[in-house]
Amino acid sequence: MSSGKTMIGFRRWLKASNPWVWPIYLFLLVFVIFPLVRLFVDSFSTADVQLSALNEVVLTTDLLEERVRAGEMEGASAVAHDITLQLNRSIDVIDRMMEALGRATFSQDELIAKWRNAQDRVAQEAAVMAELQHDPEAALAEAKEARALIQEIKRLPRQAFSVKFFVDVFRDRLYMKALSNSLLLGFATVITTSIIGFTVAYLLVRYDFPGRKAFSFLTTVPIVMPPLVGVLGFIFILGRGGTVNELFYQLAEGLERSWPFMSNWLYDHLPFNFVYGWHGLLLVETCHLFPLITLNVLDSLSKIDASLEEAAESVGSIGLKRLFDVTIPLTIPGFVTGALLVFIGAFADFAAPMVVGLTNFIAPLAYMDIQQFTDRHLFKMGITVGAVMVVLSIVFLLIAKKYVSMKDYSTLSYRAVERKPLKGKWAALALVFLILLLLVSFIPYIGVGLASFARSWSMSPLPTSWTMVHYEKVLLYAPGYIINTFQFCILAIIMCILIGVPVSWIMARTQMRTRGALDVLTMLVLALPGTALGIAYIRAFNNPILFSVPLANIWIILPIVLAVRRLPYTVRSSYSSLLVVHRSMEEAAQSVGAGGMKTFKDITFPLIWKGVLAGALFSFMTSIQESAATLLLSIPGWETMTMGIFTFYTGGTHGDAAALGFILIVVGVITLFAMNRLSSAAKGGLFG
Amino acid sequence: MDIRLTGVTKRFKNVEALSRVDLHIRDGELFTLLGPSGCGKTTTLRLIAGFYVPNEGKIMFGDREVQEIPTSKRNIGMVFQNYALWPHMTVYRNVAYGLQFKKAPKSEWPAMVNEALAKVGLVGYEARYPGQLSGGQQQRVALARALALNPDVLLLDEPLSNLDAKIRGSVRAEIRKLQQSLGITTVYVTHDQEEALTLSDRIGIMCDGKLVQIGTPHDLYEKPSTRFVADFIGTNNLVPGTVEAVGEDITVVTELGTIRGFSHSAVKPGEKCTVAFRPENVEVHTAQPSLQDNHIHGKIGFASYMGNTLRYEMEHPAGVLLKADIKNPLRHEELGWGSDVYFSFPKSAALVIPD
Repeated sequence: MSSGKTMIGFRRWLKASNPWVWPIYLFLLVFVIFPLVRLFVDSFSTADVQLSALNEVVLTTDLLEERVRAGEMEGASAVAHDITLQLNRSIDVIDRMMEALGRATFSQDELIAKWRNAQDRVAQEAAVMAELQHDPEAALAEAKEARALIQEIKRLPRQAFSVKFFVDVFRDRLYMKALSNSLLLGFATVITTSIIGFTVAYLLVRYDFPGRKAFSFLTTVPIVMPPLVGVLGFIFILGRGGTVNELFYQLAEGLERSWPFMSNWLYDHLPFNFVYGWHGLLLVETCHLFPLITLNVLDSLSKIDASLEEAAESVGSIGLKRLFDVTIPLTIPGFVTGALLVFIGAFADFAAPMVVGLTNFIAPLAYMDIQQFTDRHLFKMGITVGAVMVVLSIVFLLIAKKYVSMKDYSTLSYRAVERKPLKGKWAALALVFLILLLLVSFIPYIGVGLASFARSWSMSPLPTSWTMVHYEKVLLYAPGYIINTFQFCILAIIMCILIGVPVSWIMARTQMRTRGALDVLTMLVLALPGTALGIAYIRAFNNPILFSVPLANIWIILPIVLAVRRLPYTVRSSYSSLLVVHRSMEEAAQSVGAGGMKTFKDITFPLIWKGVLAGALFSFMTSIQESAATLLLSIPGWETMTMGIFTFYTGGTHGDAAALGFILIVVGVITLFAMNRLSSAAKGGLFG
Repeated sequence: MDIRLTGVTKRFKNVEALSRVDLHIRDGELFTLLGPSGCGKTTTLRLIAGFYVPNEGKIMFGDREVQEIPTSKRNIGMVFQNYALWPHMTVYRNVAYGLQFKKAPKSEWPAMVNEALAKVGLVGYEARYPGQLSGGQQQRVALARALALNPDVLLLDEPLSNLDAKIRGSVRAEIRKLQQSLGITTVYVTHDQEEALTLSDRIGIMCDGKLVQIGTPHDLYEKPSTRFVADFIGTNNLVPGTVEAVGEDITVVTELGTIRGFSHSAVKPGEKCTVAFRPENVEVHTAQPSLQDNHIHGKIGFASYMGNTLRYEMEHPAGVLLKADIKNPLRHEELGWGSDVYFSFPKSAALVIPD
C-alpha cells in the first residue's frame, strides 16, 4: 500500500516536473544563455594580459634542471641567463597587469598591492639569478624557488569588473560613427521595406488580379540572397562597368549621328552610379529584406475579421481613412516583427557595405577586430562591440516586445475580408508595380547567374564567352563547401525540430512557469545579430570544457550555432500550428482510449507536421545563407559555401564565387517553394 | 455504472476551482451539472473524464477508484463542446479510431461503426470529412464516436451550445431518447437551465466551485434551498426580509410590507431570509383585491409581450422590481406605463428561504 502511494507520488512528481524538457533547457542554457553571459563578463572586465613570460620561466626552469642533470654546464649557464631575462620580462608583464587592474571600475588597490608584492619578489629573484649565472647548480636551486613563486602568482585574480572598454566604444569616434551609420541604415531600410512590403501584402490579400498566386510566391523569393555575391550580382548588372551602363554606352555610340546632343550628354554623364554609396546600399537592402515585412503583414492582414472593417464603414470611415485608422493598426503585431527582422538584418549586414564601397559600419568593424590576432586591445574592443550589439538588440526587442510576443494571439476563427477583383488600369498598375519590383529584386540573381557561366565578362553588356569551368571547380574539385553546408544545415534543422517543437509545445500546451522565459529567449535569439552570436561563441567555447579540444575547434559548433540562430522560425511555425489544433482534439483521442504517444502520433503529428516542416525549411533556407556567425566560427577543413564565396571572392576568382552563390540561390528558391506549398496546406501558415 | 465523488478538491495554482465536492451519480441516469460560467461544472466533468487529477478526494466508477487512472483507461465516451472531430480523418475513421484500443478484431470494425452511426442516423456519411458536414451532423458524429466503444460513462460538455436554436431542441430530444434506450450513465454539462430541466433525471447546481443543490428538475424548481438556486432556476421575484413569526404560516417583514408564506426548512423568528414567488403565480389587479394573502401596490414600469404570456414589471417605490406573468394575453386588456396596480399572490406561492 505504502509503496503504491510512493509510486503515485513519484508519478505525480514526474508528471508535474516534466523531465523530458530538461535536456532542452540544458541546451538553451549552454548554447544561448552561457555565451551571452560570457560575452558580457568579457566586455565588462579589465584588459586581458597574457602571462606568457611567466609561463616561459616555468618551462625554462624544467630545461635548466635537465641540463644540470645531464652535466652540460655550459648550456645550463645559457639557460640560466634566459631565465633571468624571462624574469625581467615578467616584471614588465606584471606592470601591465597592474595598469590594467588600475582601470577597474571599483578600486582594486588590494589586488594591485598583491601583484606589486609579487613583482617585488620576482625582481629579487631576477637579481639573485643574475648573480648566479655562472654557478648552474645554485642557479637551479634559485630557479626552482622562482618557479614556485610564479606558480603562486599565477593563482592571483587577473581581471576585475570594469566598464572601461564599454565606455571606450562609446568614446571612440570611429566606433560611434560606425554605430550611427549602421543604425541609420537599419532605420532607412525599415522605412523603405515597410512601404514596399505593406503595399505588396495589401495587394496580395485584398485584391484579385492575374497572376496573384504566382506573385505571392515570387515576392518572397528575394529573401534568398547569398552574402557578398548577392550584392556582387547588383554590381555585375548595375555597376560602373555593368550591363546597364554598357548598354547606355552602346546607345550613346548609336546616337552619335542621329541625336548628337543626347549622345554627348550621355558621354558626359556615363557611367551612371546606381549602386556605389548610400543609395545603392539602401537599394540592395530593400530589395533583399522587403519580403520579411510582406510575410509578416500578410499574416496579420489576412486574419483581420471582416466585421472590424465593416464596423468602421458603418460609422462612416472609408477609403484611406479606414485604412490608416483601422486596417493598418490591426496589422501592427505582424508588422513590428517584420520590421525588427529587417532592422537587424540591415544593421548587422557586413558584406553589402563593403561591396558598394562604404566602410565603417559596426558589424564589419567588429568582424575585423575579432579576426585579427595581433592587437589584444582591438580584439577586446571587438568583443565589446559584440556586447553592444546584443544590448541594442535587447533594447529594440523591449521596444517591440508588446507586439512580438508569440503569446496572446489574435483570434483563430475569423471571417476573412473578401478579395476585390482589380480591373482595367488598376490591375495594370498593380502588375507594373509588382513586375518592376521583381525585376529589380532579381537583378542579383541575373548577375550571379551570368557571372557563374561567364569565361570573360568585361566592357560588354553580357559575357562574351561561356563556360562550365566554375561549376566543375565547385562541384568536382572542391565539393567540400557544398557538402559541409548541406551536412551542417540538415543537422541544424534536425536540432531546430528536436528543440523547437518541444519548446513550442511547452508554450502552447502547458502551464509551465518557464513559458514566458522561453518566449523571451526565442525572441531574443531572433533579434540577435549573427556577428554578436558568433563573437559570443568564440569567447564562450574557446576553452576546453569536458572534452580535451575546445568546442570552438570542433565542427559540431557550426550546426549548433546555425540551429540556435534559426530556432525561432521553427518555434514560431510549430507554435502557430499547435494553436490551430485545438486541445480537445487530443483529449478526444484520450477519451476513446489513446495514450499520450499514440495521441501525438495519430492526431497531433498529422495535424502539425506541415507547419513544423514549413518552419524548418525556412530555417534551412536561411541557414545555408548564414555568413556572420559561420565566418567567425569557421574551422579550417570545415568551411561552408558562404565561407567559400568569401574565399573565392577575396582570392579574385569571382566566377567560382558566383557559381557557389548561384547554387545557393537555386537551393534556396527550391526550399522556399516547398515551404510555400507546405505552409499554404498547413492552416497555421508560416508565421501564425 | 454509478459515479461517486467524495471530497473532491481541485486547485489551479492558488485558485480553488472546486472545493470538497461530494456527488453520487446513479447508474443509468442522466445527470446534469448546471451553473453559470466559472462555477466549476466543466472542471467537475474533466475530473470525471480524467483530464485533471484532483488535489484531494476520491472518484469512483462503480467500485473502481479512478482518480489516478488516465483518461484513456477509464472507458468513457466524451462529446466536446467544439466536437473535436479530427479534421484529417473521415467520419468512418473518426468513429473507428477508438476501436483499436478495445482490442476489437479489425473485421468487426465496419459493423461496429455502422451500428454507432445508425444510432445517430448518419449511415452513409462514412467517407466524408468533418469539414464537409453541417454543425448538427458533426455533433452527431461526435456522439457516435463516443458511443462506438460502449463506454461505461457518457460525458457531454455543452454539446448543444454551438448549434442553431432551431435544431437544438430536436437534437436534445434525440440525445435523451438515445440515452434512455442505452441506459448509459451520462453526465451533461450546460449553463442553459431550460436544457437542464427538460433533459435531466437529476440536476446538480453549482456555484463558485461548490455543489449548491442536487435534485430532480421538479425539486429544484419547486423547492430551491438557497436564494441562488431560486434565482438561477426559472424566473423568480426575490424579496429580502426578516422572519417575524412562525405559526400556521410564516410572516416575513420586507421592504414591501409583510408577506405571508411557507417554508420547506425550519425557520425561526428574527432570522434573515428571502421570500421567493414566481411571476406565473402573481395576479395583477387594478383595484385592491380582498381575497388574496399578499398584495403589493405599485406602478407598471414595463410590459413585454412574449406570445403566450405577457410580463409586467412593477417598480415598487422601495426600489424593488417585481414581475408578473399574464397567461393568456388575448383575454387581457394591456395596462399602460404608470398604471396603478396590485400584484397579489397566495401564501402557498411565497417560499421563504433562510439566508
